[in-house]
Amino acid sequence: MSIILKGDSVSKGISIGQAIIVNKDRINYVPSFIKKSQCSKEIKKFTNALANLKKEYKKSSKKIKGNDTIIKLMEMQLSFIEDNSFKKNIINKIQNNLFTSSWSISEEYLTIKSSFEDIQDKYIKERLIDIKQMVISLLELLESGDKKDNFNNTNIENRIIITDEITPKDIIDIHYNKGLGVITSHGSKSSHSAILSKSLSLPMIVKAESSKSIIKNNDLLIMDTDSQTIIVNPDNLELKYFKKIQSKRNIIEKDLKKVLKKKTITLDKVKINIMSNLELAEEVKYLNNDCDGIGLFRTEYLYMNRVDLPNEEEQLSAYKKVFKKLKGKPVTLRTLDIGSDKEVSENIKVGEIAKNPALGLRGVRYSLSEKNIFKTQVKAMLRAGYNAHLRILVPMITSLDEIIDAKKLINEAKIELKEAKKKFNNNYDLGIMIEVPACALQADALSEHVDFMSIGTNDLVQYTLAIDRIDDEVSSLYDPTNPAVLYLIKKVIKSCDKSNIDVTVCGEMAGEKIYTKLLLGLGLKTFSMHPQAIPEIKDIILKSDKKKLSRKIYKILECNDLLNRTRLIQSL
Amino acid sequence: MITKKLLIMNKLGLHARAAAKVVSTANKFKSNITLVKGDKNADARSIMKILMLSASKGSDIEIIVDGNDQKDAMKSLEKLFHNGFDEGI
Amino acid sequence: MKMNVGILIITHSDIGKQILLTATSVFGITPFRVEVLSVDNYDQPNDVKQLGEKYINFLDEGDGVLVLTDIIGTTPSNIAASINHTNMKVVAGLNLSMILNVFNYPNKSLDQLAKKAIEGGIDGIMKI
Repeated sequence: MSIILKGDSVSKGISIGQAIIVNKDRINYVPSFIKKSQCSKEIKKFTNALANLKKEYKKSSKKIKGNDTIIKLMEMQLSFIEDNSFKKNIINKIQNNLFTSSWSISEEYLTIKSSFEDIQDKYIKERLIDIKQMVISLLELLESGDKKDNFNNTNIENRIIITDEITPKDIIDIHYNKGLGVITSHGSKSSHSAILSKSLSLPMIVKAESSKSIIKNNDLLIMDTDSQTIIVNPDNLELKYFKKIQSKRNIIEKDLKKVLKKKTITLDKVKINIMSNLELAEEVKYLNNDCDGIGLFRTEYLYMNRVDLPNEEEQLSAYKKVFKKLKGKPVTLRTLDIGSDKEVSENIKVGEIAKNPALGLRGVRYSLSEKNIFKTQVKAMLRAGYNAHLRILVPMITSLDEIIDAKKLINEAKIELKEAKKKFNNNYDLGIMIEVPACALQADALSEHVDFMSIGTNDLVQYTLAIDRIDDEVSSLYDPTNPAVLYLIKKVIKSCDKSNIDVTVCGEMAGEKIYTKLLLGLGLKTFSMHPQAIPEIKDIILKSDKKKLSRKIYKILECNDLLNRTRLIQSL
Repeated sequence: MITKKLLIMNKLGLHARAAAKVVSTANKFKSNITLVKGDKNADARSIMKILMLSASKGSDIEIIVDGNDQKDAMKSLEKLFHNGFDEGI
Repeated sequence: MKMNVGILIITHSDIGKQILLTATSVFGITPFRVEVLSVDNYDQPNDVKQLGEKYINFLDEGDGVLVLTDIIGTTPSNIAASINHTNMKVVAGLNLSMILNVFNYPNKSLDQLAKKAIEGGIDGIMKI
């Protein structure tokens, strides 16, 4: 009989295929010894493995062709591979205790682990995870000789991978080798790997705790990401049912692909712009170019999970990739927006974690206090946007003073570039994110000082309704259709129309089909969303009459109870 | 052999980025260099060991340098500590 | 912070009901809001699933619902697993010591309670 397991879905899709179990979490705690005569041979085996691991890391970095974020992650692991005391201690154990290299490594890892347990500093403590990953990779290398990397074997083709945890590098390898999906017993929906799997459209379910103990190699599985379940060894009825859904989905996808080729105009002939949101420069490879540009490139990932800060050259090469692929279409780069729910890495942490990070030093406030970090980023953006359509977006604005101060710093950056004789774009658009009610309410005045505005509905809803986006206790109260929020969105759009500047909605609302008609009715002409959402949203826009919708909006704005308002929105 | 007590002055203490700087500075010299905090000590060339010292802002670190280029090595390390590992104070 | 996690028990016929009754008489009271679903051979899984969804929505006061079922891979467990409610955790292997352990912690969060359920269940298994 079939067994149904639960997990957290990360990326969409139904996958039907056979399982392949991949063990990544193998630190062997069983003692094993060598003979005295094998001592020097064993030490050589260990140092060779260390050298090979180093080589492998360097090779992987090259394979994904300049994936700067992953390279930085690996550099951290490389620094642990090259650690003096790690190497010395293990060689000592082999020599003096006659342990095998595997056992020596495991023992050394245990010692390190217990030392880390006493550490209070959260950021230092988290480095243990990196050390563990390095140790696991090292042990795998030792135990399998020179067998290749787990996910580079062709035997994962058309298989669903079952494992404990997965690194971004693994996701890329799985996608490259035509794996069908990933199920992990641990992990998180907001990890780097999760985001990558979404972009690569690789179905993934995390936190399926019993998956490794229940699923056996070659078991037939159905991954149903919509209901966040895994069906192990489905019966014929279940198989038939899901195969039907799969083929229906494929037909819809094909139809939607046709939609992509059409121009985005409403029934009443209004041109609407659909742009893409981007998290990692590397995602741009998978963009089908069916968008009118990049409405939001979140640059935070360049700064996270590493020990240092990305310099101008590194950022330049990342941004350039995006401009290259978008060939002349507008690209909106958002300056560093850390804080609130994004994990703060120590390289950009400023002292103790604020009690209220959402209300603390984040966005432009952080940038104005860390001027060098801001200027370095701006310089890279200006250079990358040379001879292209560059839009610079500054987050978390609450006052005109911040805009003026930011402009001052950008001017300083331009002067520095001139002095260094670097070519840069001096004809860029400067825009601000509307995320805070204060900003939305000043939209009239502020619109005269910027070239465009971008409404970050995620945070705007958060701050307007005083709801923490990631707090499970209140997340059900998060309602982007609250009249207060709609009023603010409408106000901003109106102010921008008056000043004849462009306004975009780039939050999650833009990519959710239940809100498309609502946003059109509020007067929105530019949407920016996750690339996967584009076909469906475009389809709705093509079938909408903007003028008719704007007439129906008034009733919705005056409807203060959720139930009726939802009904009105559904009937748009 | 020379020893000196230095104070950790930067906001984040001896975290990964600062530790990496200590290692790369130490690697420029030939002397043995050890960092001591309380009853824990760390080879200045081992990033893991330095991290395990868990030295936050305000900690006293004793640096022990022993070798031919000990004077230069100590000077470089002092400089590094004094300017907060290039992070500003 | 005091939590009010709800409990839903889904088992083969009335195993769950009997275990709950016994636990309540041992404990003296039922320190949680508990609902029980029996799954019999003649039941349509979909009907039971719908009922389960109704119960879970009723039981969830904001702190989530702990679902206890007897054996993984059987119809009651599959029904539990297929319910798509955001704040719920499913633990299989219901025995008396599991539910008694859970009863001891009426104010814990859903995650903590799931752990207590597993610990309690395992602790009850030994050779005498």
